[in-house]
Amino acid sequence: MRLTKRPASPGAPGGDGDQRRHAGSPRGARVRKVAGVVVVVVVGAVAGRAALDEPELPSFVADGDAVDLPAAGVLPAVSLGQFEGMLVGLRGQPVVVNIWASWCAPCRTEMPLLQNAAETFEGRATILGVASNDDPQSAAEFLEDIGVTYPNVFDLSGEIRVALRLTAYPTTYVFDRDGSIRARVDGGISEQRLAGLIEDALR
Amino acid sequence: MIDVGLLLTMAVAIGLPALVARWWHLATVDTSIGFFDVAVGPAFAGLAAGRFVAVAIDDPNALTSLSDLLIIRSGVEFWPGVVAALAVAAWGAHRAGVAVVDRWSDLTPLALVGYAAYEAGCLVRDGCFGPSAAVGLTPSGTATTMVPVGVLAAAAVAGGAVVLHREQRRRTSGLIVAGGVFVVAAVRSIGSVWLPHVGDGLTRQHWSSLVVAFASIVVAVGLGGRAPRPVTSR
Repeated sequence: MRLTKRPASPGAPGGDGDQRRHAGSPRGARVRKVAGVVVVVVVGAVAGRAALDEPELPSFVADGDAVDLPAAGVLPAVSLGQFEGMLVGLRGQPVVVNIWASWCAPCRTEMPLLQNAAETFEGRATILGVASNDDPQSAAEFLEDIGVTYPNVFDLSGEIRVALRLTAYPTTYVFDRDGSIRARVDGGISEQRLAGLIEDALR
Repeated sequence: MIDVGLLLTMAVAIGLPALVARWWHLATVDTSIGFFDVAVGPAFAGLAAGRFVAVAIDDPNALTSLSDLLIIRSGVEFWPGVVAALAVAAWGAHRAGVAVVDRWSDLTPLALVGYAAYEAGCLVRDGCFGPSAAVGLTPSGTATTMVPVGVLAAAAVAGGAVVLHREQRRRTSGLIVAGGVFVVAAVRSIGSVWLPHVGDGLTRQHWSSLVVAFASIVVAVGLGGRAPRPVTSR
């Protein structure tokens, strides 16, 4: 069935003449302008609120016996307990934990920055990578491709990402000297933010 | 993951100059077209080119991956982006039968307004970092009060935009463009001194902005002082 538009008389409500009168009148233009401003303000306020709304930091504090960090270039599968042990062993200095996966593009992009940070802050702060939600073989190959020298571990069971309440890849956590989480950055981290967070933790 | 802060910043960086363009008359833009139509193309071309160059420098293997290229949050190389934006604006001017340098000059103060909005966007993006001070802002995740370099940079660039807009009728178009480039390059150079960074030495942003600031001074000196604005239509 073909739908045809019935021509309305110029004076009838909803007719073309009526539409033209509203569209062209100064009052109509004013209403459209005000409506536009209201929409922009509301959308801006909602987006601004969402942008400024900081996610709550997980109340994660590492516990247990100290565990040594793995050597450069190897990617051992570790349990949550072993991961906590590594953090316990690093007490006294800030630790940056970067959670990544080989399928995650921004993870790869920020790794040279993390490598640079590991070299710059060597002895004062530690960078620890955690591959998670990934295939062990792919993660190991990825690490070899990138050629980072800071320690990395593999979260085989997914316990680490659950304990840290991970919501995005990559996510970077800054642990304070006492082992508590000081900051968390969801998504890629910028150079100034990484440097700013580490310098702040070192003060 | 959608970076709401970055999205909001980009919306303001394009929307604010579009709003200002209602008061700042554009001599080379037909009133039926408007600022938005002539600026959106260069803005997106600049973003795309800046991202492409950033990936080419940081992670060339990712150049074949569209998803990697689209993640602009991972970095955009600023000055190659500016060059691409200028090229697309020039193409638009050529198509409209307008002198290229006049179109660039027309858009310069508004581009500075957009850049100022982007810098001020540190408030909703990464946080406004800077040197520690008694008075300032405390970025999320830190316990230190810092001078918000991004906000100061935004104020300086916005001031530059107003000055250049007022000078548009008294200076040559080339001088206005060189002046705009200098303002941004100088602000980025000076800002880089105070922004935290990883490693010793100058960051890429710092040295590239120094080079551009110097080049813009050379161009401005070459173009010389006062001159009436030339006729824009060819």
